[in-house]
Amino acid sequence: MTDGDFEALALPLLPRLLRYAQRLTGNEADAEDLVQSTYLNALKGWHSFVPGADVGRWLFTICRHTFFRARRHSADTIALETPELESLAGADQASAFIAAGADRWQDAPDVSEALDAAIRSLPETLRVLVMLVDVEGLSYEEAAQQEAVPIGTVRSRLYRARRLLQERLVRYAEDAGIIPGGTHV
Amino acid sequence: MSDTDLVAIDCTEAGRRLWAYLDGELAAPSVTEMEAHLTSCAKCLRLNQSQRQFLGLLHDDRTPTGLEAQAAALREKVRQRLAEERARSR
Repeated sequence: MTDGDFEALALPLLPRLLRYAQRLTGNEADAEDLVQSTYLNALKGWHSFVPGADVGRWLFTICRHTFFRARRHSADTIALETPELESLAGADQASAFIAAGADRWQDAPDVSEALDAAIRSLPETLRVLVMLVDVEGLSYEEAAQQEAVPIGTVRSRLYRARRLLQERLVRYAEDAGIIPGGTHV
Repeated sequence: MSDTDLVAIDCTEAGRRLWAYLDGELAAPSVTEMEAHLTSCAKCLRLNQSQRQFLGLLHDDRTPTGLEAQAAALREKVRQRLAEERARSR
């Protein structure tokens, strides 16, 4: 596998990687820096890439590791409820949204952009868990290991993050005229 | 486990378990109880479907069209950085 192979296989994935980095970092400037660092790290490790393996998965893993290595754990603390209460609150809220027809935001044509903006607006401790579990598909246990927190904390933060995302997406749908104003509860 | 060991759960309990159920993080008996509830409760079934759709949108990693121009500009920067890195390591 040559350096030419690296560019031919890895560079076409840049748009997907950029979107991933924007969601992970929460802002465009940091995302661009992260993408550049990811490609430099990937080039250094290209000799260890196994031909035929999934280049995308390999790159995204490098991106995630690069982000976590550079990241200083945020000092911001979030008052956490228990996972069960967070889940219940989310279900109650979503039921109310559905009863009011507010989940129609999911059918909006530009929902991806709205969803990305909502993810970027989350506090980092919550945003990271959305990326690990909801975007990458890690289990709660794997995410707990990555974040060095108990599984209960993963659940609480993840469920709170999803609740906040849905609140923000309902507001977006109201502002865009997709659903009537004043739907959120 | 036999059917007689299963506990009928109500909407409140189903709400507590919903995210873990959708994430595949519930133990088998709890899954069976959850699914039994969903077959008999239209409200919770609707909630389950809506939240599943929400998670599907989160997991969708296709690139929005608005990102293409930014990605093209960044691709050139990356090419340049890679060329510099190769020149440095020779």
